[in-house]
Amino acid sequence: MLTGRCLCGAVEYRVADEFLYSANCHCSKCRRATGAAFKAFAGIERGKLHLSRGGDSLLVYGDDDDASDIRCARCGSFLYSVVREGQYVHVTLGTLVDAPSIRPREHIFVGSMAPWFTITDDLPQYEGHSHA
Amino acid sequence: MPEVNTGDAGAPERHEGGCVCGLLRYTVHGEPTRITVCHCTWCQRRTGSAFGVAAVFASDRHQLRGPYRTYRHRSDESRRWLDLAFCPNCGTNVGFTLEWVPGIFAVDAGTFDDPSWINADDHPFRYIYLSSAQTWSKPPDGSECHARHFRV
Repeated sequence: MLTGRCLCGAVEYRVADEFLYSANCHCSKCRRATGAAFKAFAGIERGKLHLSRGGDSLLVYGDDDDASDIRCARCGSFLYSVVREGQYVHVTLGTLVDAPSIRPREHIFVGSMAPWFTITDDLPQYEGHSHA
Repeated sequence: MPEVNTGDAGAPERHEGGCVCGLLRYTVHGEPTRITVCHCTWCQRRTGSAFGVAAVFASDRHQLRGPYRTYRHRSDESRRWLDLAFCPNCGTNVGFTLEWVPGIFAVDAGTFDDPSWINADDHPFRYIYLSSAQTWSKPPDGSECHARHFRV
């Protein structure tokens, strides 16, 4: 199991090191939500992530049963998103304290990429979703 | 809100940005003094990404509009504070101020509405805290890189 947490430590989660996919998403929403160039995330079945601390300190944006972004209400750190009709979560790689086995495997939505960012790796690039 | 883009010769350019849900907005006037891409663990936690991208403005060239929440973080190394500003509704971080460098507001550059006005040719990019970078996140060749901060 891997541990992840927010900046202030109020919220902590545990997640199995069994991610199914991982990507850097350059869409305009992910750029805004992170404030960075892209969102780096890894996807896994929702049941394989458990909050170990701070369940009452969550800032939930969206419809929790279907799709939402989960942050710490105290410090605003972006921890994970509930996606795909609530069945999966996209864990932000920046909040994982322990390094996962998976690394980002592709860049998606490079059609919306910030012009000030340069991709420096050889990973596949997709204009939108990779449909992998 | 001061209107500075009214055709006055030499008036600084104005750029807008804000959070995901639109509740918290900001305006900046003129150009950032620098853009710092920070790979420290703190920036990874707060963004969820591989680094934070801070476009630095003088405080009087930046205005926040709308409700926001702040979180004061103390650096593990220096014990100096940094105050994060984020939307109370959607949580988006829109920037921070810091004890170390008074008089500036560092905007999270990914939150600008139009990403195209910033570019590496016109704005100096610095890459810092590469000592804690993710192994898969590397700056472009030839960029200014620092293992820690450029001030230390």
